[in-house]
Amino acid sequence: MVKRKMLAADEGLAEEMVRIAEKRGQTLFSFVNEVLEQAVRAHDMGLTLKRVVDERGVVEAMREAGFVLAVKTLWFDVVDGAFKRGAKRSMLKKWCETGRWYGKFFVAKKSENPVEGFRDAVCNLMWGASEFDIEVNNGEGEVRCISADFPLSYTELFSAFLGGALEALGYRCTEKDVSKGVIRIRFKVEGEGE
Amino acid sequence: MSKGAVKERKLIAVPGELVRELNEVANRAGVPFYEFTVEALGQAVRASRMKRTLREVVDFCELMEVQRAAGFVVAPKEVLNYCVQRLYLAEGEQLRKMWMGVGEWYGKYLQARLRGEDVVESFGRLMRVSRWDLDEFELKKEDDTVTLRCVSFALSVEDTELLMSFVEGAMGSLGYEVKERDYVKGIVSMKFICKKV
Repeated sequence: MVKRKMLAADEGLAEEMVRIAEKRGQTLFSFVNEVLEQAVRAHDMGLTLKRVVDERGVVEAMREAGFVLAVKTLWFDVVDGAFKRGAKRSMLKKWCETGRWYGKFFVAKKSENPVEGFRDAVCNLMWGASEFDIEVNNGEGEVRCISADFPLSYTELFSAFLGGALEALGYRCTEKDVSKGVIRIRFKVEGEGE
Repeated sequence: MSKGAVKERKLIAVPGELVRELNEVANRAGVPFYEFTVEALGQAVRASRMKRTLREVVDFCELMEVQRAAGFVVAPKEVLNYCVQRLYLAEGEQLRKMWMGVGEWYGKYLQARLRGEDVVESFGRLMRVSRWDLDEFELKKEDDTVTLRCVSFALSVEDTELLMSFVEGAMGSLGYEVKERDYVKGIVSMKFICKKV
């Protein structure tokens, strides 16, 4: 027989556990057992459960927003290929539109702090980038993105995406510095300082 | 502190062996045991609100780690389609070769990464999890034959052909060659047989 020990939990949380276990047709014991096993498993993967659940939510949001997973080398190659074959202008426009759409998506989804939501999503998904951050202070801010393996074409397109997203988030670009693998965009709240 | 602010606690039974393991993990993470377990239970509630079990969420994350390490990144589908279509007319053959080459690499990567697992089965699982633009992707293994059935309402003809090249490359690395193939926009049916050694 399995030796049991007792675990203390806040009443509200314990009741929620009972409710979910019932809904899934499990006993509370087996449900809690499974949950805690997964916590150990996540820890063995070098992650916290919070991070694991966060990532699932972000990927789900990206899927809803029309993103797919692609092999990086192929993705960069087709972008570079199309970019060099005369599609630069239309591609920049398309990326900007995609960014704008994505910014609006976060305004709609995370209305309390859409910039933070956008930043977290990009951080979670920019698997190849060594650095990505957005800072906002008193209506002004800066986006920084560094990735050694971004080709120039991709860097330019990604900066157009960021520009579009910022616009949808209610900001206007005041300075943009883009070189291979490095993006720096300064921005301020739309309508300020004009 | 007023009496009303004190949170009532309830006791939940858990296996003794698991408590010992959790204690060790919490210690290693530098988090008090109570905090660690309450956090885990709280995340289970979050997962449930996403209509997932925690096991499914952790499984998903594990598979995503495999894809991340293989060099997968997130791309806007519309832009990817646009680029492919721009290039496909003039360079379709070259693109198919590229996709096949990357598929070959991916098959070898999976063999190295998933030692001891059924790699063909894992390949199918990874495709289902990470290619969410595919409605169905089923690899069925029977003796020395593997059949693929794939359906997607989102794939263009170009995407369909590139997907086939990628799968052909991956299956080639896993020791299978194409015996039959049939496809139309968004629907693929392929049969592979084990290569003779």
